[in-house]
Amino acid sequence: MANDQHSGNEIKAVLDEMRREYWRGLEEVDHNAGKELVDYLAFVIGNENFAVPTSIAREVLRLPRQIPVPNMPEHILGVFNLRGEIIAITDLRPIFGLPGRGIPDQGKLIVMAAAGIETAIVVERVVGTRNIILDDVEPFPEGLGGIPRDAVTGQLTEDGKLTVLLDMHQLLSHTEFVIEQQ
Amino acid sequence: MKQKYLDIFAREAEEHLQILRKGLLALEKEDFSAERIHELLRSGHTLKGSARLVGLEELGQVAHLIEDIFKSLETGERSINPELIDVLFLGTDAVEALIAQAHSAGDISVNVEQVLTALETGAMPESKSVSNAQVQESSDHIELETVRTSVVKLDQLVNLMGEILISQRLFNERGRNLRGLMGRIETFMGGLRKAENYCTVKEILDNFSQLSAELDRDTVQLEYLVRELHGSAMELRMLPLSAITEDLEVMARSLAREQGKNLQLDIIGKEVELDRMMLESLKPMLLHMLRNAVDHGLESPEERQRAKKTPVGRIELTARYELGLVRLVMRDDGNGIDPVIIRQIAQERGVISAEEARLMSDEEAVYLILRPGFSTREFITDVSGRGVGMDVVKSNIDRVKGNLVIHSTPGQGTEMILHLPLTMAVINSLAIDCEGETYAVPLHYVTEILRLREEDIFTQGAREVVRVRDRMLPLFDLATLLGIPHRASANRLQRITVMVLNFREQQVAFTISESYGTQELVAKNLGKQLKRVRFFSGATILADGTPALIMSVPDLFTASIQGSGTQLRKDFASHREKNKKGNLLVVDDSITTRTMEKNILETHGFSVTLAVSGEDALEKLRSGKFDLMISDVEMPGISGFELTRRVRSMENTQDLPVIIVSSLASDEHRRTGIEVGAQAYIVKGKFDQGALLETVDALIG
Repeated sequence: MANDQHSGNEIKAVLDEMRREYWRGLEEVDHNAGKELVDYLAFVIGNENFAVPTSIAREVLRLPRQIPVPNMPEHILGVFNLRGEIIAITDLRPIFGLPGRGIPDQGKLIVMAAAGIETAIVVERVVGTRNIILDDVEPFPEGLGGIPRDAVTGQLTEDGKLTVLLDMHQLLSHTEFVIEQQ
Repeated sequence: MKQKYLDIFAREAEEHLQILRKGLLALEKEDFSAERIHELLRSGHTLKGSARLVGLEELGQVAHLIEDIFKSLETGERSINPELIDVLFLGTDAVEALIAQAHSAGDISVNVEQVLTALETGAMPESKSVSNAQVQESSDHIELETVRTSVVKLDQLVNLMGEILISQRLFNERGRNLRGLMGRIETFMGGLRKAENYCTVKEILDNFSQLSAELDRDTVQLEYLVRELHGSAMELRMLPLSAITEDLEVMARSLAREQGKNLQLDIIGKEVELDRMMLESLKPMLLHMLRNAVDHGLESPEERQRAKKTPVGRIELTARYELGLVRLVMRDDGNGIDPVIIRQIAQERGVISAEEARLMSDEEAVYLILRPGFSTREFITDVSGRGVGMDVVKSNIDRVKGNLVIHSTPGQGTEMILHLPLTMAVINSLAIDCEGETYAVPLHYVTEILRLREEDIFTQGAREVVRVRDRMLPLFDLATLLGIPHRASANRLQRITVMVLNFREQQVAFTISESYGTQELVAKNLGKQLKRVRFFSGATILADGTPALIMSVPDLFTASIQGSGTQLRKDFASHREKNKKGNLLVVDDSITTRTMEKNILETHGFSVTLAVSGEDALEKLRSGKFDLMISDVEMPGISGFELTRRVRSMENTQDLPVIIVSSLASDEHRRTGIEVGAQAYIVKGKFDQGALLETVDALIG
């Protein structure tokens, strides 16, 4: 009997929870309606989370055969062949002051086109694509690491985890990304 | 010849017709000013002059009347009215029709009389059509047989074709792998006992072979087609030299006329085809060289007379194919380049120091005209100058991987020889290895590849030079110049490969790791991100799909001027030194054996330390650095096996080669010796100095 009572309560609790969930879901849909959503591609560099709008990401590649280019700054790791075109591999870690150098074993390349150039950004891991509600984006606090302030759209905090949204057009406009040696 | 001038005239006339029509439309809208009328007058005037020059008398008359009308409008004798504008339009139509007539050799008739009357009277004739030709249509007709496309699309096409070539090569590779697997099945088949099994496998294998043969045949066919296709795609970008020579002729003739010089310009080899991009880079170069030749080279008729030369100066531009390249020679019989004056000017302009000027040979001095900062507005007249000089030519040549040679005899003329690849898209190149990476070097810069011995290397001043066919060439290490770290390699000095490059009649030798032979490669740029990379002009994609950087030979030569040369002689010496000092530790409790081994080894250049026991050896290993240890097995205290085992377990000696020399000859003992980590086991019974030395050499030689 006691047992039945218990399971009866439990069922009721579960149903209540489901009901609450349902209403919350409805509210959330309403809450999000009319909000601007942007598709972002999230990835990890130097153990930090970053994301860029999917519109500038051309493709994600496993590490291809690449060759080093002598006399390059630390953030240019080399070049590779992308269907007959030569593309440079850019490492954002030295620019952002993040740990780790060279090409990580399980890393990936994200080919991005912005600021008039096409480059492959080396990342440790691709998290995936996701919708970001622009209203949830918070301003980026001043002086975080070596990340140029103008290259950040904002940041997103979820479950205590920080994701930095990058503005690749601004970032790649910085002169150090285009190599013009004498 | 006449056709050529007609073409030039037609193009010039088209421009003026456009100006006239635009102007007339503006006048129609009553938008006119004195300047506008004057501009139109000038167009009419130029048309008249040029038409008479090419012998189109009727056209000249029409243009003359058009000019007159504008003149009267300018002076105010006449005022503009709609009918007059119509008449002028009629006049321009007539000009266009007359040009078409001249081209079509009589298929088009033009009613010139009617037009002339209209222009004289200012009244429109009854019939408004000036000719039976549909001028627009006739020019459209040619368009139908050609298709315009963007270079970007062509590049894409060529890129994809290159990728197909790569996949096709992978097919070849797979075919080979398949044959390898079949070989393994065949071996396996030999071991089959049951006839039934044997037959089944044999049947499968036969099918396999057939399939493999078919695959090979198809792959060969594919390869052939892909190559053809690749070639055709490349050819799409080729154009004859004549595409740019007309502009050159016009420029040279008008410049000569302006300066009152008599010029005969001959261009030979206009049919030679070059990559469109190459032609684009070539045109400003040739324009500049030609301008210089007319402006500075050619003398006035009086000067020529004084020098007892023909009054007409000759410039000859010859183009022909030569060994997969195009050789362009521009020769003039003008004044030549005076190295004395050139040196003086270069020094005045701070291009070189007085010391450099003094050391420079006459042959070298003429190349000073290519240096940035040499030609300036003051020196060069407004014609050639335009604020830039021959350095434009130089930078363009470097870009297209060309080579320019200048020969000049003061008073007699100048010869400039320009070697260019046919295309910027495909380069014949030498693939080389430099410290583990493959690079491509455009072949026409490569003179030869040689193996170097120590005795070929000499020192001149502080630098090392190498003797190649009785010439001493400066020697540089490619990896050092490029800033690539050297891999540790023991036998680097045993096989030194040297690549001799030539650039502007200079030769320099560069040490490389290896040469892989020549290949035809598709040249690509490094993308928008790597706009200009020192030492590299682009990249190519190798047969396996990996990129390889293309060396910029001009950059290498520039760097070698400042760079420090090789130190191979020093390396050889220290290598010998090191060999001599090869430190050996000999461990044996028998004084006879110890002494004997010591003597043998020392006479062969090794330095030998002795230890009387295992414990003694361990002590010595801790304090000294050794390259190899030779040990007995049976000794008081720890045995040679135990010693070897301990040597392997100690961090600083774990890689130390060990040779065990023992009278214990059983297989059991040999096995133990190898198990504890010795590299070699020599039995004392058959011990002779040859076996010991050979083993030592094999391990640390």
